[in-house]
Amino acid sequence: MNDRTKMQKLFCMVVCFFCIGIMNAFAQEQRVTVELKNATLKQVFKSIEGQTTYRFSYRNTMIDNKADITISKHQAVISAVLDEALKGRELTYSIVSSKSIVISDKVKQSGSSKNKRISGTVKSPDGEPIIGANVKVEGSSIGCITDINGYFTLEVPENAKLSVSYIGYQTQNLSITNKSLLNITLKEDTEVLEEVVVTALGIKREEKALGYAVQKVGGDKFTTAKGVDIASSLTGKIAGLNIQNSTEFNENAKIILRGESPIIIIDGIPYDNFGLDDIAPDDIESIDVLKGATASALYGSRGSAGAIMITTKKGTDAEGLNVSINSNTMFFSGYLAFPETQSSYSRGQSGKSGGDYIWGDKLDIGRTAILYNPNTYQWEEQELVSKGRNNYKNFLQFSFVTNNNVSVSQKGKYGSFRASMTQIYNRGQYPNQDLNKVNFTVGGEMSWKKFKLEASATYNKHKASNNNGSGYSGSYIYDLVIWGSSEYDIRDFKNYWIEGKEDIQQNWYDNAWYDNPWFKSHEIVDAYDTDLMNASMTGSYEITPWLKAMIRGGLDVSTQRNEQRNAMGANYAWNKGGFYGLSRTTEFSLNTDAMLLANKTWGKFTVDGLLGGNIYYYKYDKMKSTTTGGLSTPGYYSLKASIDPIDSSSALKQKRVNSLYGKLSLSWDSTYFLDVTGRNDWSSTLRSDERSYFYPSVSGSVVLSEIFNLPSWWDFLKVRRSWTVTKADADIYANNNVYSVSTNVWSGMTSASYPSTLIGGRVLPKKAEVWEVGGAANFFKNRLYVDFAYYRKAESDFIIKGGVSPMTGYSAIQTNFKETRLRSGFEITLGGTPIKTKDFSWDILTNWAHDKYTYQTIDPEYSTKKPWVAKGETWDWFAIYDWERDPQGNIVHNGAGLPIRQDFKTKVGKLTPDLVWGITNTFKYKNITLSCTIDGRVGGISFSRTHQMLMNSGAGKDTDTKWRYDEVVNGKLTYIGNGVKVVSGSVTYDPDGNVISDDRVFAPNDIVVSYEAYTSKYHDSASNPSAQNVLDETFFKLRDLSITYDLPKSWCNSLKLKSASVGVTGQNLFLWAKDYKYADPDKGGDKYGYENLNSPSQRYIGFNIKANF
Amino acid sequence: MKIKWNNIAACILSGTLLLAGCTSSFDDLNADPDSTNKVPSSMLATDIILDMVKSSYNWKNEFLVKRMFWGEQIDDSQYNRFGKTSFSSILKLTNAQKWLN
Repeated sequence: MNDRTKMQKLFCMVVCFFCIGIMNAFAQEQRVTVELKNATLKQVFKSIEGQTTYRFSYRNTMIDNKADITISKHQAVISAVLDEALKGRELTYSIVSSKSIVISDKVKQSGSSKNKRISGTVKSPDGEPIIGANVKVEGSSIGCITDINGYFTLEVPENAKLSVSYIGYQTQNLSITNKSLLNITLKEDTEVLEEVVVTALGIKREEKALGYAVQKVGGDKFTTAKGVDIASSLTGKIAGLNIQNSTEFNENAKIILRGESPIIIIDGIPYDNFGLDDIAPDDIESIDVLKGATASALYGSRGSAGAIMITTKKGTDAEGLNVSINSNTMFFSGYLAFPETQSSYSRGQSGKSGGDYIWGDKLDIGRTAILYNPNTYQWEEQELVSKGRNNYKNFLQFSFVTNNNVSVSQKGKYGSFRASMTQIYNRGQYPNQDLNKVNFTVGGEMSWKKFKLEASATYNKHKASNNNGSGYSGSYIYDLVIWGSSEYDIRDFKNYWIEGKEDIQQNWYDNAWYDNPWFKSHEIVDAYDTDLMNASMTGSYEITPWLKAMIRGGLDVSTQRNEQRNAMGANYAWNKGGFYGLSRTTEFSLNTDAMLLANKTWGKFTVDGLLGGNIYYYKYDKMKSTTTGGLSTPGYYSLKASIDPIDSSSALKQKRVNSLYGKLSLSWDSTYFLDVTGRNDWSSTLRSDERSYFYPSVSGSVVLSEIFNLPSWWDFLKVRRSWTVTKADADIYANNNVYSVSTNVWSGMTSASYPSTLIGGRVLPKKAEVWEVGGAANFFKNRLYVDFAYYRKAESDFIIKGGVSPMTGYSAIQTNFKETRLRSGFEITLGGTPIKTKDFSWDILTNWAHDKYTYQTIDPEYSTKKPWVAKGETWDWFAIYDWERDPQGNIVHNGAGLPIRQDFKTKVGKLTPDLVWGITNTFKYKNITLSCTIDGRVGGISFSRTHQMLMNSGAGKDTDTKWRYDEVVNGKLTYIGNGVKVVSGSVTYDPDGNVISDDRVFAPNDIVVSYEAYTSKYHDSASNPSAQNVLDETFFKLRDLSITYDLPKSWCNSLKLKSASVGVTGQNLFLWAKDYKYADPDKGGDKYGYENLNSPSQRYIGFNIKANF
Repeated sequence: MKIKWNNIAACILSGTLLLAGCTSSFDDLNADPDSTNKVPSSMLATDIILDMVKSSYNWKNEFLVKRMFWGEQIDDSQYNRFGKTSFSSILKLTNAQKWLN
């Protein structure tokens, strides 16, 4: 859009200039006196310019430097002087206004004497005037643009042909015979705007030629609401891309494409160490998501899960210098999900204070207990009051994120250059959480004759002060919410050292499990300092018009320094006696490609071919040293402070893959397209006789709208289909049969042990066969479009460690799994422009994706032996030990009134969502743009540790019930578990949990139990999921919202800006969740289906300022 | 000029193709320098001895532990509640076998 408006502006200026040129101004002629001998034409002009207000305009090439003019005129009219001066030259002049005289070639102006004036209006089919339409006389430079009423007036030669054009409409040609007033109605252009997408190896192709699904997002979607990571802005914008945004500090979003992790490719190169968060949003030109393995077949095994192709900006569209500034800052403004606690009961058990649980005594009714005093460091009898009811909120700090970018670019005749710098700062929600990111990128392109070169380099610096404090054990929620209570006010513990015992003992009431959170944030530190660099160069040379050679090289290096330390007396850390550890990790990857690309057309037949090779090398190098046995000196954090010998370890991993690949694309009449690719890899991680594997793909597409006559409202229809077989090599060193050696295991002795897995057998690369069908259609003059894709991926030959009987001397054998797993699903993209008028427009984009994972074949030996592991069943199951239930599903209670847990597992659901969807709306009214994205997921379960442990510990808000009150205050047990009890009979099960015999007789449960005992049993421990805490992750979110106001041109001009805008932005604004109350289901569970005390989900609102110079 | 460029392109391409086919260094690349397939028998003995006295059966049988009792949870085996077990201890014999050799 941006470049289109720029082009329009440029065009307007040019056209205006010509309009002025042909308009005859009948200004009063001024008189001049010219006395010149053997003068040049320019001298004549100078002389006239000196005496009048006129200025001459001409092209330098038209004016010769012959000094052959002799004029002597006194007080003559200018026309007389010019007639004399131009005599003998093929030049003519026209006095345009009182200020300018245009000199032009006589040839072009021939017949200009027979000019006639015409005027008219240009309108759209619905009668709206078209502003800025180009009206041009064919074969000349005469033309103008229509005004605000669609009106134009033009002086044209007789019998001229007029051409009227405007973007989005068909160009109309008409000849003027004797009409002088024209009413022109332009027809809308029904031709589909050819969308060009970036495909594997960075090759740009027309979307309609592709036999697989590719979806594009323009870079402008990432530059308004800018958070720490662009993944958040990408959420909901691609069908099939499921992004799970984290609530934790410095934790990247999980990016899942059709259930797998796609590779990130920047300008055609798959870097190993670059994630989405390492690319500055302002540097992105566009993101193209290649959804299946076919699309990324040319990347070999690394592309088997699809690819996210990022194209970076290399310069601007318009020539000249462009400086742009884009700043966005967003502040914390409330919580979407927050773990809420009760403030009525103290720490303790059985209604009495004292103990680790929060099942203690009632607060605020005058009862007392022996409590820790943070000022005297003594245990003293104190009244139990709920002074810490807002402990967690009081501990959390005000967070914000700021993202600023300055970029400078320049485009000239032979290329462009761009430099960009981005600075991101994020203050996390826990104390001592600072994330600083700096990104510096330079890049450019140049072309000279048949040679083209593109190069770029990026430097990233990431510094995170403390990543510690999330997860289950040892997290802030663990210490402060689950196992913390409100009879202590956390603000009293801000002085976290005991006076006189600084660096030795924390000021805290517990010395076994939990830490003072202020102490934790400053004295249990996991800090990261990362330098990340990449550089790439792509050179291409056109050998013949149809053959091109290209070389491309790219490398990236990441160096990370990780410092871990904890002070003495830390309860949940590396070592209670103090700890210091330092590790350095260097990762390096190199990709070199060389290709020959050919493209030849014979009539309607086009052949496009590619042949190339790739060398990929990866190296991982890590060294880690830690103190052991504690620190010798309090507060001295160094390896030298180790009491026992330093523990040191190192790791080195290397891998190389050599590849040859080729692609052949055939197309006929821009209607039939066929692509065939092949790639052969030689990987170092496989045994020499299995090292080489081949990876073919075929895809095709037919544009049906070119073949059939569709109704006029149906603009475009295509169908596509693709197929591929992918292979993936083993992990690095996976086939090494070696002793594992550990140093200093006992009294300085070193030990060695033989692997318990039998390694060294024949292992084939993992295989997957993928096919996909799809189609795309556009309707109503492209105001509505739809894209559909269905895929099926069968994965087999997984390299596993299959369990064998220990009687063999091994516990497992490395082999290929005979189990085949199927992934299938569909994606629908539906969008369009429902409303478009002169001032107002509404664009909508919706994405819908469904995935299903099922077993295709079962390995009789190594598949998990469970009743639900069978052909056609889902393989992303989640199983727990459920409660004993009656046939109606009521929980069965034992004689003591407590629920009975079964001793076999039952499948309770599947982890992946049934539907991932997103809707993006963009409304434009004059200068104001409103854009918002709502997205969500339907289905998929996870076990919420937050929900379970809030109940189990007694800290949760929902434990504050009347039964608890009766029990603690009145000493009366009143709780009866909801369900049934067994009156007579019994049940027997086989090991799979199938009922063998059941003659139980049930009655409603009426056994009165302790609410505390029941609740802690019903919501069992953290690693024992209870059915009621396995929650549906269904939710939707108002992901982002931005309102932008583009400053009017006149304001920009007076501020000497090309353009500028201000906006209000917000991220993570609203959440609705079906089951999740106290944690954000967007982050949801981990890969095992466990939600691990997700930190509070925060809303961010801020502002954005953009300016272009 | 043209011929020169052609040559360069051809050289680069054929060079890459040649290199791509060359996998002679691959076995060295995929050998972990941080591990070994030859160890002295004394190192194997360390694990064998430790396995016998440390956590072979149940954490309460540790010979080398100085503590007298543990108060976290009730011990199932005290009340004759024995769960399922496996023959995984036999795996330790593999180490012993290697040690004898």
